[in-house]
Amino acid sequence: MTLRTLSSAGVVLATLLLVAANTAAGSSSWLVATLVIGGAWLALRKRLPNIVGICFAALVVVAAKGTIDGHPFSWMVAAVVAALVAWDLDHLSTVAETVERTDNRPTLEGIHLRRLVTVVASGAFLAVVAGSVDLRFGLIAAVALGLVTLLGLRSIVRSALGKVGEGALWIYRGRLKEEMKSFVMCFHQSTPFPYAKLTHADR
Amino acid sequence: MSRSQLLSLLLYGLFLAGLVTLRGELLILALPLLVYLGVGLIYRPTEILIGVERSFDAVRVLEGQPVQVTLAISNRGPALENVLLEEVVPDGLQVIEGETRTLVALGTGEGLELAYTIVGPRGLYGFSDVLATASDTFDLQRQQVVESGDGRVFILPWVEKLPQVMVRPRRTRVFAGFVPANRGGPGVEFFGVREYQPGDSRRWINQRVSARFDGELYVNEFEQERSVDIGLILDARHVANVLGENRSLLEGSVQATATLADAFLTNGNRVGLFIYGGSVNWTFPGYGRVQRERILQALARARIQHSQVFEGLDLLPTRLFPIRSQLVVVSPLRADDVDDIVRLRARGYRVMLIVPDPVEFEARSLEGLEEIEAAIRITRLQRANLHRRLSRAGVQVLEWQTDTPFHVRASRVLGRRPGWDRGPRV
Repeated sequence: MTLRTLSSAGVVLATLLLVAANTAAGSSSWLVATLVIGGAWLALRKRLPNIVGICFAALVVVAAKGTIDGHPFSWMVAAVVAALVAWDLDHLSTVAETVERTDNRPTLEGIHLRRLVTVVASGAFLAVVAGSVDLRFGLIAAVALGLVTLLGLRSIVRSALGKVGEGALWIYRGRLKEEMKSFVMCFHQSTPFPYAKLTHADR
Repeated sequence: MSRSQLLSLLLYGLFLAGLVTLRGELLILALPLLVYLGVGLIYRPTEILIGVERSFDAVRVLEGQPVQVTLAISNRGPALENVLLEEVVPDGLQVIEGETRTLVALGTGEGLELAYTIVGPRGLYGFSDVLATASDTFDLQRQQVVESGDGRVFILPWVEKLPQVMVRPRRTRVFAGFVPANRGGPGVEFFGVREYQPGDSRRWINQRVSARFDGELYVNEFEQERSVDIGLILDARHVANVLGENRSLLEGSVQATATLADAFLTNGNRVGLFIYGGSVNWTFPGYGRVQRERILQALARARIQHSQVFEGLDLLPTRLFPIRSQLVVVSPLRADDVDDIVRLRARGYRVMLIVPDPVEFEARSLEGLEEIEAAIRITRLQRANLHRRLSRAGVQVLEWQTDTPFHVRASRVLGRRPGWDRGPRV
């Protein structure tokens, strides 16, 4: 079974789950929207590779809307997981098709699929556990946990965005390091501090 | 938007929606995405340390001949789960076989080889960069390095063999060659008769002449053959070479120059090359195979040059060429250039002008247009007039159509002296 077939299966599964949930709830506009998104993903992914990301995001939004509307939660989680798998495999197959040669392609795909299954299963398991456990916190504990969650999420997202050579924050951090380095050098070599020199010139 | 940015956006969106709507399920819905992003961050590449060695099966080839390039890449750093290796092939070269991009997993100390075959037009091609883009398994975090593995390939212009090119400059060198020197001495062709001198071979005695004089012997004298100085001038001016739609006559000129250089050097002459058009591009005169290689390498690098200063041939540095030597100018010839070429002749140089036919070159792209026949006829008449002026000044002119190989036309015309130069010797 090829990666594209697996990816298509993921798209179909996610779309069917969302369609079924919307049908059961009688939400025809979201039903049509879900069908359009799933169809666009399958039809246009080869011609417009960028549409895959948009369709994935759109399916997650539909699942979130379904969660808010009270559709079966396990279906929504399954739809998000299936869409995530489809998005990942689509990307892998696109990369594999653009390169002229892939050494040990079965090995690469095997490693990838094993890790994907582990990650997706862990995510789904955590979601199921989190959905089934009923915890009650006081206000202070809830605020503290919320802060911890937000800080953790912030650091993860910053790491994700702060790739080498990209991201304003990282550039700023790099400049700051350079400034500090020059300051330390000036201090060690007993040469005038550059800002002091500037001040002197201004005077 | 990168994959990690899209995931981050979705995560933030779900968290915000969960907080705004006070629905914990939305936070739970984000958990699979969060785990996916987290694993991508954990397994992101930390450091890329790769070594690159590039080798070629030939570093100098003729135009059209293939070159096989082998790239040995080894991982000298931590293991890389997912690395895309990409060879940056210089512009102009075409990969006809093999691969230049590969996706692999490289453990520490592991390596791989990429082999591919290229062909391309003449030129000097420098290879340097190999791009290595490592990412985590989910391709959320990428890191790219550029490794250099230097190497270069010379693609030389194609050289055709010419049987003989007849040149007769007024000054020859002292070394033996193939150009008649207009002086008596050892040689093959009959030159004259002189009195016998002790040491002359008895076989040289001219019996008929000796019989007319009592007691005196006369011997045949032969014409010495020596090598000569030849200056090749390649016209690379933009105004002269580039016709409509960026089509250039330079390729034909380069091929002709290479063929002539090979023929002159094979006959033992001293040959130099000057590429005219912009910067000074002068290959100092020399003999033999080494000089042939130097000239071919200079021709391989020859490019059209833009310069308002060098629009005419009046700035040709004639001091580079020995006085009364042979000059071979390869140029499409503009009307303004005629006076400058005649001036070269007036300075005592023998001048041979090789002209890739621009009229025919241009006419090929204008076929089917109205009144083109009349335009071609008028232009040909003008050019015939230019050629006549040059011939009257003693310049040997050879015009050839660039769709036929130069050596075919040249072997017919250049193998003998021009008509005006074949008169009785004084």
